Amino acid sequence: LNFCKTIILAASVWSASALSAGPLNYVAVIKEKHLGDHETWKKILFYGPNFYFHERSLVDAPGFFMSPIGDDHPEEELIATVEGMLKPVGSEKPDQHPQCRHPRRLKWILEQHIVEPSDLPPVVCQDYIDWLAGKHYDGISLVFSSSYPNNPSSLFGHTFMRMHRIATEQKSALLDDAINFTAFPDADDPLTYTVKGLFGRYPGYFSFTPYYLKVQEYSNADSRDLWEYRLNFSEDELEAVLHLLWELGPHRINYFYFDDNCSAVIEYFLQAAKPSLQLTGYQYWVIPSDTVKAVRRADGSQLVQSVAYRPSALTRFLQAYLRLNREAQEIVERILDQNDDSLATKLLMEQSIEARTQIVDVCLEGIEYFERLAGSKEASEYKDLRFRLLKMRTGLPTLTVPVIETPATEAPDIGHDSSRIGLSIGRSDHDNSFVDWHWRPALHDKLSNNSGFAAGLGIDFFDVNLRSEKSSETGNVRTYVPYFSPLSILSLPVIASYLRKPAWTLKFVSEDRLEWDVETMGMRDDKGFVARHRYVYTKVGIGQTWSLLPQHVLLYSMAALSAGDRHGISKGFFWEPSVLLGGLITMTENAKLSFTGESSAEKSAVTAYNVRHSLEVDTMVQLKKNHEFRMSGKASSRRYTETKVGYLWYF
Amino acid sequence: MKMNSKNVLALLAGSALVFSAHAFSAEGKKAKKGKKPAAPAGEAAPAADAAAPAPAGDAAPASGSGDTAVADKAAPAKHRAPYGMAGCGLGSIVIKSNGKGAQIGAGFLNVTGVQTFGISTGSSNCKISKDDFAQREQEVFMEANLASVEQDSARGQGEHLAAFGDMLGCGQETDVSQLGEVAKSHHAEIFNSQDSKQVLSQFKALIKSDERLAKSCVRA
Repeated sequence: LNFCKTIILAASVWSASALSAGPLNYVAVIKEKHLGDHETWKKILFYGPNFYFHERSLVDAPGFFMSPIGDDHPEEELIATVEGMLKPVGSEKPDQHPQCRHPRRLKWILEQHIVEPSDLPPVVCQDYIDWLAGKHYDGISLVFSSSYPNNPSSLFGHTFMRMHRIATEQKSALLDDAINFTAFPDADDPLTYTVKGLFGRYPGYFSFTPYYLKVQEYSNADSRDLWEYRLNFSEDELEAVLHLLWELGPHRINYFYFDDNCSAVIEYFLQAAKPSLQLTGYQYWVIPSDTVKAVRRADGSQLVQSVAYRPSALTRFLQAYLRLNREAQEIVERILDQNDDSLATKLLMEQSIEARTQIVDVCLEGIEYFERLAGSKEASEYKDLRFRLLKMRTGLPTLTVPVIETPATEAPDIGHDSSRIGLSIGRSDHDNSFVDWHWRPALHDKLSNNSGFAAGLGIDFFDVNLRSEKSSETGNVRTYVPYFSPLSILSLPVIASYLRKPAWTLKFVSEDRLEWDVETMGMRDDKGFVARHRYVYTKVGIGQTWSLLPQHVLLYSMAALSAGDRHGISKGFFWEPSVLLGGLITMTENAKLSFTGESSAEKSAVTAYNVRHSLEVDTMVQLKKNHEFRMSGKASSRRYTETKVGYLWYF
Repeated sequence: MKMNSKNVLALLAGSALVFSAHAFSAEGKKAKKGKKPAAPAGEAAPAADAAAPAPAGDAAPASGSGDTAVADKAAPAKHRAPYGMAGCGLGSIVIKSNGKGAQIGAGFLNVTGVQTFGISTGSSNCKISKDDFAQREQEVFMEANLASVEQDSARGQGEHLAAFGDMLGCGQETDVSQLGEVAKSHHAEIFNSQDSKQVLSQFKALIKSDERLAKSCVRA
């Protein structure tokens, strides 16, 4: 990116003007050419449809706009902007002049010849010029940080941007810069945090930091893999990125969970810098991997030039560990488990120099991961061991650590889309038949094809099932919501058994349990339906996984506890401990089978333990990306069975 | 598993070639006193930053409540907005982690990036000389990458060590591997202290005493 160019632009601005004769007719030009509604102009102002399909700016800070109604009337904003640009520099600091505050707008206004450079009063934007100094870039990447099981803070991933410094000036990627949009929350408890976030009560701002800080943050502190999508941006468009950043810098965009989040704002940002892009649209829900997919598809799939992968501390450790032979792996395990520096020395001295070097390296990677070493944080638990290993390592040969070429998961853009709807038909006890409508805006369940997603991680957000059931006895129809879950997470770690990460689940559920009622010994009701009791509860479970045939057969067991409210014959609070055993079998890349057996004991203040056993079997066959066929069967000891087949479409 | 429950991951008290866009949060409204964003510095930002915050109106430092109030005064009129990013971006940065609660909330909200590190900056204008600037840049780099550089140094090579060499201007590939050898053979001396500034000066002293690196690493 060319600093000289900016100087020339500035110079032409200075040299101009004063001479400009007569009132300018820019208002007429704007109105005649409908420039206020020009797509690029609206992109520069971050205009987009809101929840009610009304188009307005995403930016919430009034200071971003020149007109008091500029967030809602792009033409007014354009007229006010041009008026401001033409205003002579007054007593205030020149840097406060609209020409200095809005370089992105200025560039476009000149491109459109609404005014000519010679019309503009000369202004020296010293702060801006200073700010640009040294910012020479030749590329931009969209960076996706993966979602990662066992780290609830990274369920949906995150996106930000990396600016590539001109290679002749700086070779190291770590010395590049990052542009990030994020919320600045003020609460520390999850509930407040979530509620405030849902309703846009946190301000979001852009920040600009060295890329190494992001790498430390994501790769080391959070242990999340990074994917970098290098985008095809011209020199002009890269310059526009800086213009925009300067323009938006101080202004607040309220951060909404659903739509105005990091990902959506980055989509707006990219298309404001490169107006030929159209990434945004009416969207009630934007998640980071959707942004990656949108970028992948943009410009006839020409926008992304290349994809790079940066492994997290965990991936680095695991890959290095898996490269060792079994004997060396065992030594690594002993050293890290025992955490005794003299034992480590003894074990290592028995090894050949080559093996010793490898083992020390893997142990150091392991400590880096376990201790979440980032920044200048010191190791605490492994302090002495790390010190000893580092010291020993200095006496061993310098080896090039192999570059990790095979990421732990495939690139996020190749996965199935996030939202899905489905239609199934089925049959329950006594030949009652039903039709199920299914909708789920995000993201991925254990049965879907894993490509592009972390293996063994299921995140279902806002999962809804609507059922119409017809009684075989009476012909009556009833419609109800048998299952709704605002969030359910299932994490089945498939990574090296050595780490012994727990399997866990967390679910918020409202479900109708269909079963013969023990309390009334009820048969079907007079309308011909099985009794239906609503349970609203939270379920947490923790357990273990066994990878029997890696990549193919995964078994897990968990102990869980559900607690909540039931609306049966006896109403009120209930709790229900349970144990479950499950399996996930990946038959081919496109077909999976899962089974879950669970025994539970429901208890409330007024009832004794009610024991249930249930078994569920599900199968999935992926017809092609985004299209799945599913079949499932359920049976319970409470004399209820159900089978269904259906089709799911991801979009 | 072996997670450290300490809230503060690391405290970066140098100056940085960093700034954050929220540096002028003056928006003519809404700056409630005493409401502190959790992630950005606020309570944590130490004043070890030698570059004093710039005067109000120029670059009001980040998001602590007091600062916001100052910035407010600077832009009283509703539409007299602040402009641009913070000065040329020298400021202090703080890396800290929020509590577990916020981390979990953050996961649901997709605002990851805040929950682990809040990076906040003070800011100053650009009246700092080029040499000081390079020095500051190096200090921040070392503070932010100390553990990684230490590990790379023991191995004699690695991305963080190479980036450090790049920052010092050590031009050729061979210079970088020479840097690796120096780092490795003097590891104990360099990392004798866990204070990043001392590590940096120790490291640079060794580079200057190496005949070849003294010539090539021009910013050491």
